[in-house]
Amino acid sequence: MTQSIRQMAALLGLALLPALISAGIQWDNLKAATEPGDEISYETALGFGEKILWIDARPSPSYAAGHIDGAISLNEDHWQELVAGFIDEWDDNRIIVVYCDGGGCDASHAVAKRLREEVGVKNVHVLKGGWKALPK
Amino acid sequence: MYRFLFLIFCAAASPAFAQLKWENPWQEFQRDPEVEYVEATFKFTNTGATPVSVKSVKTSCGCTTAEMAKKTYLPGESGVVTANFHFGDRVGAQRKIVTVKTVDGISQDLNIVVYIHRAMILTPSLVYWKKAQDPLPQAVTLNAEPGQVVHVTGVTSPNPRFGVQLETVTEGAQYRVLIAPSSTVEKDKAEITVQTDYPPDAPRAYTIYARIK
Repeated sequence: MTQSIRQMAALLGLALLPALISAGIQWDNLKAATEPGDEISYETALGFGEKILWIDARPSPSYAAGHIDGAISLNEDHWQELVAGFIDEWDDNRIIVVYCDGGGCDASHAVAKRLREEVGVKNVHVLKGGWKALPK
Repeated sequence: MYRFLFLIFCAAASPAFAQLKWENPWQEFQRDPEVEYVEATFKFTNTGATPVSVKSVKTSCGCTTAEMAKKTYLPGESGVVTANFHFGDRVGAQRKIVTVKTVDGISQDLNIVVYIHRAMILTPSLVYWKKAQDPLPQAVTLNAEPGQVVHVTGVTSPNPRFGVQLETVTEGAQYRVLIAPSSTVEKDKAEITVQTDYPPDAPRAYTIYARIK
């Protein structure tokens, strides 16, 4: 019985080994391509009150179809065209919360990263769950 | 008996035995932003004994499209998923995923990883002063991407109330722009243009945003 279990474990390990090696090699590439932001819940964001500056990182047609009241559209498709609108709305008392569709969407993290590193603003968060997680 | 079933389970779980065998599901590219998009071709073969039908091909971003010529592939038949990732104004490391799902529930992620080069990186792109704050100069550093030689050929402020001064730290590699408002009594703004000589056929300009808030 013990020998059977050992043999099964060895076979399972052999089957998983290529997948684990591949995942390990690709992890660095994955981390290089995306970076986790500072995720907060919708309830936490509401606690910021009037200081909050919502940033909608979804494609422009999605923003046009509906967005959080007062949200500024800023996405990577049209960053150069839209970033001035964000800068005009922002001041250093505001707390920025970026959202996109949610689920597997990484646009909000990408926009948050550019706001911190490229524009140089602080107090940037990402809305956990995104647009789909908002109460309707 | 259980050992036999477990061996069958392991064999079925191994990627090598999945019906669609993908040649290269992870593809990496280096591109200049002027290129605008990259096309990735993902080749596969049905290595199984039965036809495989593709249920869906979905992308992780509206900036990426993907298509295949048909849905069903016979045993031994090969096919291609062609994906196009349009950069927009994206820069740096990007990863976009195309997920292919078959009717029998097997899913495969196809990865397009692109490093979109930026000839020159401005840090930061925004300088600001609060009203009544001392109008001291603030600096923006301009770094050419490693391996690139980019010269700054001019810096202009359309608003005369924001003065600009260009300093060369290392010719072709690093510059500094000092920006100072003449006064911070009132709100004001300017979009300062940094002109470069790269790429030679369409030299690019960059924007520094200056604000008094």
